Amino acid sequence: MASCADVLDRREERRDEQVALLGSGVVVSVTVVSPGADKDDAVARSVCAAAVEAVRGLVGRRGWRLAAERSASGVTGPEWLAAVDASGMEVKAALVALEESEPLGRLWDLDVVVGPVAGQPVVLSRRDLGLEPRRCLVCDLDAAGCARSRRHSPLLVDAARAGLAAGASREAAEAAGGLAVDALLMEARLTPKPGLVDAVSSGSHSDMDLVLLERSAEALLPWFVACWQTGWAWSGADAATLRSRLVDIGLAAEAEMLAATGGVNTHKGALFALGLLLAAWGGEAAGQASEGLVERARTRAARLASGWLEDWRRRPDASHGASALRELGLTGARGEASGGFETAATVGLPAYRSRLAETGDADDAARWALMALMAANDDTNLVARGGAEGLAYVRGWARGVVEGRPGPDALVADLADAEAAFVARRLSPGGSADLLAVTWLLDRVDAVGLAAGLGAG
Amino acid sequence: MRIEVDAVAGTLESSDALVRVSPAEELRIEVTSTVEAQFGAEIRRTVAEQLDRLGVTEGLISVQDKGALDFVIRARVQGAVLRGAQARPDWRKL
Repeated sequence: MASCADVLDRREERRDEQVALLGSGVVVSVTVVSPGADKDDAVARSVCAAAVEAVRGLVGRRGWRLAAERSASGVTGPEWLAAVDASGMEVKAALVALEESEPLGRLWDLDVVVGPVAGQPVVLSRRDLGLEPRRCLVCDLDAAGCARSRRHSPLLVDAARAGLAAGASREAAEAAGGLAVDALLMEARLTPKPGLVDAVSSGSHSDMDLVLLERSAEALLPWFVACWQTGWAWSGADAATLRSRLVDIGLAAEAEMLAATGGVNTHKGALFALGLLLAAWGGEAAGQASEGLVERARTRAARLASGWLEDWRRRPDASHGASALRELGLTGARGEASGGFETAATVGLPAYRSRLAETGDADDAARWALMALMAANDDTNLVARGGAEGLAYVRGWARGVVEGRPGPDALVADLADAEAAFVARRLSPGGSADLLAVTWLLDRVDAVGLAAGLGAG
Repeated sequence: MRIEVDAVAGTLESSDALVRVSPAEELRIEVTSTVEAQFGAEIRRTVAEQLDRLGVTEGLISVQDKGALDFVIRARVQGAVLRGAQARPDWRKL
């Protein structure tokens, strides 16, 4: 690990080496973006090697002459210096183009040093070329500002760096994370939903409303992106390694959710399910899977989650799920995840798709999928509020509705009519609501996989 | 501490700052920064506080900041001042 003093000392030494090289031309300095303390890890070394290869290729293509090449590595990270016989601005423009166009380019710091002026080397900047400053690894703002204000959690920066280094594009990661947020927003806004927060009612919740759920979902976006990137970057690692990284991300995400909601647990269960599914999806995307993407992601999620279920069976925590396990043998969200989201995939998804084909109305299809899920799911949120009786009540009611096969308008009426009875019993089918979000995301993952498959063909 | 000779600490790499000090009869501080709009005032305060801590009351202090964190700015100001006062800096103690 590099200390701050190591890093500061090394920068001055490097500056002196650059000055010494300036006699032979303009100096190209290659270092890698590694914000953490471990600046000489395997990622940094392979990223640096790729940068050097790209710079050598550029020099060859341009017909420049390379002199006095030297590479160094130590606790402050790998680096490479060389002199080039070309104009500084020309070299800088070409290197910026590499940083922008190469897949790993965002992780390269390709500096051009000229001068010296008044004894000091001059480092050419993007600004000298009239270009925008570099964008942050995590967001759209200027990288220097985010670094200076430590705007983002080191966990998010690490995930972004690891994802990029492993070949995951930021656009793909943001698209995947955005779909998880869309899934939460779709579920929250779907109206009516008995006992649950929707656009017209807070259901059985005195501490939440739709605005709060929307704020919570938006706050989770960068964390969902990080789950996908982490799943991609550690796709070849053993499940326990990836799991421990996901736990760190999940706990930090939960803290941010609580900060955004003033301490209300809005999306803890959904964060667990969707975060896991995103990590599994990222893992499969890393392997370029497109055919059967949903099934592959489900299998991967199951493998990841089964470790949690085993741990938790041995040492149950104080959650609602734990008392349901103790009293009724229900495994709740952990069981669903370790079964590869079986209820969502085999009950929710077919219900959603068949109804969508039938009525062409996505909201109606989501309401229908929610009914099917409530009829099938052993929702431990219901057990927590209403015991085994509460669960049996909701399942019985939902089965009755499903058997009646109401049309879109009658389904809305059935759901609206049930609100009073749910609220009177303080029942909230939050577990089924989470599975509706999972169902919707599985449908999207399938669409993305099909599009990728068509693109590849 | 009194600045006796021209001295420099730091670099122009991103996340660093280049600090130059020269002897002068009055204290003058010049700061430029790539994150001027957002953090200009904060950087000036950090530089002034560090000079105050070091007992520097005269000299020309010029800081070219490239988005350095506060502790880096403090270390570079201290390094340049110690070198300008012809004392040997030990980065590990800063």
